[in-house]
Amino acid sequence: MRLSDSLAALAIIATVTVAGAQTTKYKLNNGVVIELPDLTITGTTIDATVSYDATRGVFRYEYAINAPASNLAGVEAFNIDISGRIARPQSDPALAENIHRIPEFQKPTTIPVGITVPDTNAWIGGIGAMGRLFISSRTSAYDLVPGSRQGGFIAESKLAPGLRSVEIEPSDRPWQDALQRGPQYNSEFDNPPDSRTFIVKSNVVAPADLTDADLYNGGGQQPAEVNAFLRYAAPHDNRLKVAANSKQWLIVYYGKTINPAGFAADQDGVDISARFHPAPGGADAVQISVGSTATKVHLSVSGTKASGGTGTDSDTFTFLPQ
Amino acid sequence: MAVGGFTETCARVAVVRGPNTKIRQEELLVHRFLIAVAAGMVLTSPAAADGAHHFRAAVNGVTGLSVERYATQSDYPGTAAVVDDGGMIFRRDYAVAITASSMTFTGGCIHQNGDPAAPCAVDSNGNVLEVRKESYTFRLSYKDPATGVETNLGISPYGGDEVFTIIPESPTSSGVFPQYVSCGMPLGQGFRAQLFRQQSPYAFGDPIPKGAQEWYPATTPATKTTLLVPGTEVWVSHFELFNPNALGIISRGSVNPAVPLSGNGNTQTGYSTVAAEIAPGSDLVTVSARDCGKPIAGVAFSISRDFVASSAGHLHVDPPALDSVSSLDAYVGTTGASGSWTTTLHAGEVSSLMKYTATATNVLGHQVTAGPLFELTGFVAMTDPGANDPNIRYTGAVAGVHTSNHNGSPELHEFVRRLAAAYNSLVPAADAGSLGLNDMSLPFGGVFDLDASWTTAAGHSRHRFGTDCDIDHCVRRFSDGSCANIDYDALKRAAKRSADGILIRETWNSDNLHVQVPEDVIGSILLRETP
Repeated sequence: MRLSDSLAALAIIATVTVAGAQTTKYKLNNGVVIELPDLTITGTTIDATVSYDATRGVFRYEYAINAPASNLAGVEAFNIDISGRIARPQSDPALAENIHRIPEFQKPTTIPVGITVPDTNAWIGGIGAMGRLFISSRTSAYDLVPGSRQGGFIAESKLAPGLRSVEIEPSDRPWQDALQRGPQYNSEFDNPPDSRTFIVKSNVVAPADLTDADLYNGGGQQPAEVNAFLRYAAPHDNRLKVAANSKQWLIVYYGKTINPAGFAADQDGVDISARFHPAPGGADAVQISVGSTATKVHLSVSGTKASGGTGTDSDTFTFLPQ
Repeated sequence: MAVGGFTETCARVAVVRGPNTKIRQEELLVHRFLIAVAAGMVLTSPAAADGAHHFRAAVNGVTGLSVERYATQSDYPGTAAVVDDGGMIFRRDYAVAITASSMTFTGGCIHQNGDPAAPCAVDSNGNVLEVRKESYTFRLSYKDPATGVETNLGISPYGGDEVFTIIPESPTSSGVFPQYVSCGMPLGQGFRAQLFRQQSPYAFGDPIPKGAQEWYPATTPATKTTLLVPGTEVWVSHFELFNPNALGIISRGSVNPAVPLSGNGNTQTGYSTVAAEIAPGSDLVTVSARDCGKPIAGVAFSISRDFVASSAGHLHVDPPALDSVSSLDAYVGTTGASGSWTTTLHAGEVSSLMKYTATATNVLGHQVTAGPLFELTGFVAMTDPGANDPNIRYTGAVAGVHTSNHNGSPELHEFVRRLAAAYNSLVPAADAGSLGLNDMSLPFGGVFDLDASWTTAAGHSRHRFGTDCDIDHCVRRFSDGSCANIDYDALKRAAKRSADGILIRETWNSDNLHVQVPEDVIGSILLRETP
């Protein structure tokens, strides 16, 4: 990532997948079966852009929710895992935010973030007790309705990106409405209705607390110090079987002695260097579009060795659509 | 032991120990003899129909004999409990003793063979032999019921028999002759307290002519294998040495309740992704018969169980079906060669104490009760720190039914505090207040029977593990204590986002607000509660 006073934005579209068994019928222990509205939001996606403010040493992660028209319920919230490894002060005034912080109970190992929402009347944000960054509509009136998009959710962090899990949760407002229509039963459910069964789970770029052991060196290069000029939080293999017509994260960590001018990247022979912003000690998160045939991405960078000499690290990733 | 009706004037008494002991002056103190002169002694020699003289003893013998036991050393020789003939003396007791309230002698003739019904004995000249002295021998012995071998236990601290020789017209005495209980004394029947009597025509101190018979019946010298049998047994009392702890019943002491997939009402855990059901806890119950560290094999026993009312938070009195608390694979058994027997205890769904009592009817020939063993069916490690946070208050206790209704895992208590704080940060300041925390779990979890039916038929099936809590609709405003209707959206977001837990629609009823700790921590909670 190039050291720049301006924010360099990278447009990234997250890939989402559906998880969890979905059901709309729930049995009460009096034998009555209640059928509740379907809360499927399968097509929901989250866009993410990552930029780096070199002046402040802050990574800026910006998210947007895309709720397709096919959704059967509004989108109420999304949660991103930002749990970390080591304890840190959870409040950092260097990280911008506009939310009203509610009392924080998260673990001290949670990665400190500043959170900004586009409209504080409509949206709330915070950190959950288990170390998840959450963005939620303030009330069900602000749930993201099918066929709409909402951006402007920003998390600032001093930690570089990694692939983190994200959950997108539907609103259970349709159930509330059904409740109001009655009838009422006091009997308990055998398995209570839980809107979480409609949660969409995926990965998204977000602050990560990675160690050297978590980074893949891209393979092949000698000596080792040269091979470490380019290391990767994702992927962790040079050849990957992936879904056809999908987008794959490439999260690269640059060595401290690289020469940014000596960086080059291409995808199937097409130069994509401009999508990267190499900087000594920096990081980049880029998504690679994979079609129906094998896609090769090649990255290389030159740098200075401890001896004062130079070397070049060159890595190739092959995505194999299945 | 006092002797009433006698004037203590003078005394002539000889104390003669068993064959292997010597007389010591202190014995008088040890035995606390009360010596008095017997009044009104009558020596008669009425003419019989056949013209011969038959003497009789107007008052003759030892009175107030009994076997007594002393519970502690400090009780000896004061407070004692009389043991009925055939009764028991606990192993734990300090001492067993023969006591005599008085020994008197009034003369008479010496009966042939020592039998009072027999004619008087005569000497070689045909003269009736008058009693000039008598000897009484106290003995504690054990006759093994199986072998018939008798062992003289001796009377501590001297060992051997306790022999008293008394002469006419003088003594009255009483005594306490203890045997200290030890592991060397076997349990069971066969213990005897005995009194033997001999009579002599020679007064105490009289020279015994060579070849003359001093005692009637004659004394049998003791050997290493033969007990001294001094005279005629005139009194015997049988007893048994009994160890109330000989029969024991033990277990680990607690088991977790079961949560089956189906049963009374809704009985699933609600944690479909963590543990859809919880197998009933089991425990090994061991009954053992043992005395002084030695196993007793072949002891047949039965085990009874009793529901312990008002335990585990259930204050309602009607007991549940006992199996819903816990049950055993077997309720009768016999100890094996190791002196032990084991069966398996299975938990039910209801948390409570159950009392298990083992009773043997053939140990020592009478009923022996072991235990009781109190087995807890319950989820453990729940606490109730109290509503020590302004953002919360406790509600929902029902007097006489369940008053301890806010027990939970530490995670639950932390969770509801987070939730309440988050809730108050999400609602307008004017509506902020204390959240009413209704039922959580009973002290040891398990079925939280709203209707005191011992089932979850009335609901609350998830209130078993200290992971869930009901929330009241009334939030008592900080400003004036009035009720603000709870904001469902704010509660949901506080529960699900900030506190990372779950807001559950337990019933399809708008009045029901039910929250649960984060699912991430449920596994560790259940692991801790079901050790």
